[in-house]
Amino acid sequence: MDTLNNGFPKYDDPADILITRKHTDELLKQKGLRRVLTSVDLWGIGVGTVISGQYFGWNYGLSLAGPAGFLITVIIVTLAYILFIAIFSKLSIILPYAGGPYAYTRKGLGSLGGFIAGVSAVMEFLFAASAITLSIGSYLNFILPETPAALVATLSFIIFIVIDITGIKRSAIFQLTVTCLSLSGLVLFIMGGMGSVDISGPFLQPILPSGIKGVLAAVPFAIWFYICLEGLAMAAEETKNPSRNLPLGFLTSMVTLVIVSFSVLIIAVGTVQVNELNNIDYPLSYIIEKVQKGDNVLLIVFTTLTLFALFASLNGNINSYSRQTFALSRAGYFPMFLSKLLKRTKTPYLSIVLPGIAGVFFTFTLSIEFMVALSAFSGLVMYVFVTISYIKITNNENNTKKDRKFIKLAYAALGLAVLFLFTYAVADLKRIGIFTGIYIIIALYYYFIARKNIIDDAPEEIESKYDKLKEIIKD
Amino acid sequence: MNRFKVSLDNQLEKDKDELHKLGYIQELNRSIGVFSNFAISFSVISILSGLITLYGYGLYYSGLASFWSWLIVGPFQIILVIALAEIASKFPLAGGAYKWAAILGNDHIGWFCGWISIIGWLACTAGIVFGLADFLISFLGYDRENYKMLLTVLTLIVFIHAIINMFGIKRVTKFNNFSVVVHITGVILISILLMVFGRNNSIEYLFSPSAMRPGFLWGGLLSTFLMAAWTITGFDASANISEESLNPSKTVPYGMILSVVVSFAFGTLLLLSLGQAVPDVNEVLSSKMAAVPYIISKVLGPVVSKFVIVIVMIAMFAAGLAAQTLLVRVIFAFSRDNGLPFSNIWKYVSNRYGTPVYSIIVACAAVILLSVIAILLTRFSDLFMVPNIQTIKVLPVITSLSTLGVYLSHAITLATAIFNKKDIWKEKGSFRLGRFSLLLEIVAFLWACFIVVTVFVLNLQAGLIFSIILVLLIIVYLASIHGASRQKYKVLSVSELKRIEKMRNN
Repeated sequence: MDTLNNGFPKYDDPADILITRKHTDELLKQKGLRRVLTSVDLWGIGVGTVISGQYFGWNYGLSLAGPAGFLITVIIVTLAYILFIAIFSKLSIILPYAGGPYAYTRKGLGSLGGFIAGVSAVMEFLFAASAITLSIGSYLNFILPETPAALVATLSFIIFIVIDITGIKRSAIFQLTVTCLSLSGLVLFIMGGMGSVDISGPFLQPILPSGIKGVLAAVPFAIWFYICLEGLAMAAEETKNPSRNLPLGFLTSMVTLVIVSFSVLIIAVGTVQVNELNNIDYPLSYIIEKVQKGDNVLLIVFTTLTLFALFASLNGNINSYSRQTFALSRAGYFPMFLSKLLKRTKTPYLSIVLPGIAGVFFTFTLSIEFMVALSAFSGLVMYVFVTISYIKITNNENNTKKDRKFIKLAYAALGLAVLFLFTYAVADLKRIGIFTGIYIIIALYYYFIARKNIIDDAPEEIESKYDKLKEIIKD
Repeated sequence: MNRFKVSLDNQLEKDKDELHKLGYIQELNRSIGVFSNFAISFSVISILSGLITLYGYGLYYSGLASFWSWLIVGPFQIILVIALAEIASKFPLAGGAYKWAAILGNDHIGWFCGWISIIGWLACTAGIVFGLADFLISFLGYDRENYKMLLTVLTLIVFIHAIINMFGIKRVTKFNNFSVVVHITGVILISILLMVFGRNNSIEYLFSPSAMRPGFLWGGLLSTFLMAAWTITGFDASANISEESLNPSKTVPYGMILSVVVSFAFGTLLLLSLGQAVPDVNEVLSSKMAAVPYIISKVLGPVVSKFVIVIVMIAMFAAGLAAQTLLVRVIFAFSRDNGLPFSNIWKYVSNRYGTPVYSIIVACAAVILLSVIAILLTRFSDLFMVPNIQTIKVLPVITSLSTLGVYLSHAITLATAIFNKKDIWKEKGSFRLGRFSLLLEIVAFLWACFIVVTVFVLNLQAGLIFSIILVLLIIVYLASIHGASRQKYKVLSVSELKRIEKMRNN
């Protein structure tokens, strides 16, 4: 193991692979990211990445499904996400790498699958980041019309990129702060709206105006409550003691999000008529204004905190896409220069900046509906791939009864993910055509370019071959 | 990772040796660093606790000019802490002030100092928790004079603190680190909110003579010193966890000084923003609510003010926990030297958790008892010429008692340092003051005496309790001086200590 090959040791003897995990740890220590995050930081990143989804985006589903219908939708989506996140949790213990979805799918479904899952993840977070930047711009325009909104939004994107480059711990502390501020905003909303909730409200309106179809049609909006939480998996190589802290981070984030989502939903449904929220971009502000008339302090404070929620989500998404890009580049699928680390801070600066530039470009050229749809669509594709991989990876003779029970749930999760994909397809067929086109391009890229440059010594690649090699060695 | 562990073990060995030289076995768990050291002191000082609960008191006696008392007391406290830090650096032992008095003076002085400091910390803990209970029942809608409810809540809080304390210093440390974040963000949050939404008075007004209330000079000003003086007590906490700190000779002095300086800075910010948000002093004083919650709810509207007050209460809870930790350590240290009756019980350290469990229980009981006594005493307010305003009935009694105890113990310690001829004091610890040592000690000593006298004279209820306790102490002392019941402070040799330790560990 003396000769160095792109910085990775070369194997002459397959038996060397047996020291895999120790070897990959050594590798990560020398060439990898800095391990500094605690479970509290992870909670901040997880909740923060999602939190703007509690503030906006979900309300368009209310009129599609009716108040009770939307409640059902949210329950279905919540259950699905509990399963998705549980699967991610378990996979992150087995494969604690920055590649996240790419790593899991690489092991379960091979190179092509891994690549598609990885690129889906990058698209999910990158387009989410762009969509949020656009939202920051329009929100600023809404509350302070005189500000140069586009400039400020772009500036915030740039500032968060810079913060991330200066170090993951600094970024995590910043993230924790904005997440706490965002959560405070939601707590204020809950406190302010609590007293005015009228339980009978939802039942005075048409309950299920569109029946089952409405419930399903509202899925793309209910997803806002949880989407992008899986970005946490990308922090695996920067977390202390990942096999303990990552699942803990997922659990605490999920619990927080479920509590907050249902609280917000119940207050919204109990205080205003559903069709009032139909075309409003900022439902929570509208409700606060209606319910606590005259409490100017609350309104101003809440408005400010809404902005912080957007910041938190933007920052979280930047973190997620950058680490996924870094992992794909380190393994050769993307050009190698993207995985370069800044010596002092050990951050993958090019993976942060270059996709960021693309993100800003998208912000100014694409519509928010398109970006949101593409982001969610890629996310769901990724869930499908990861769920299938999970089933493949854990399906062997050593399983206990509990494992087998969970695999059944994994099948259920797979079914739900496919169902959700379907609801997107049905909503806008033309768009699905464009998305399919994008995926075809991705597959072509793989066949003609990525496949030739795969580096076998990247940790995710090594892990995926581990079992096969173990068998070879046995003989 | 291994390298860090090796140097950690080295440090632990070194610290253990230093402790042996001072005559004690390593019984408690040593794991605390500089920031955690600072954190526990900062938590006990708790500007959110002290300033906010006594703000109404300050308003009554001085009006908005109560701010000036803070600006006078603060710098003197910094001098006091610097003088004590030097002593702490040389003698990093649990028990803090009283141990230093015992070593630099003699056992008898140490014994008195120990009792006085225990009274001081007992009242300090009681004051913080009482203030929290007062706020909590008001927040929940009860009448603040509903003492039954208040005592129930107080008992509950003290009980929860005891449970946390019993489960080990590491959890307490984590809580204190969190408490620092809550305090700093709480103060910044309150200040920003008040300054943005509550511009009732300009900053210049706070410094003008019209900010004064009648009676300000000089009785009012002197009375208001209590507000600042009590708030900035608690830096002893650093010294008291010396035996649980890594490299205490260095970390403890810096923890102490830093906690006072940072508290002074943030306290100034808080007072400025409160001051400029006060609508009308008389209006504030005549409300049923405590001063600061009233101001906040007036300025910030119903929802946001509730949120802010909850954050303040969380900070106060953390402060109460830290104060109880401090109290327990002092009781532990004192009973280790057999200074208390039934010392054998109090000095027992549970093997499983590494904490002195019985000391914790007796500390709880004493806090509750003191609160009850203070409430009963205020029934006789007229006798003591205390004004009958809700805001300042019971709490000033407890906090005055605390101030008296703590500052007197500081004064005694400083006196022993000033008049010390022993060799042990010639060579200082990591933190030294060089030429200014004696000067700072004298100034600090005079300041401490000044506070003791002022608070005693202007808060006669507390003064009464304190005098009674002193008289009792003297009687007990004289009674046992000829008796064989009280063991003296014994210095065991280092080898003897190592032998006992080995026996314990097996």
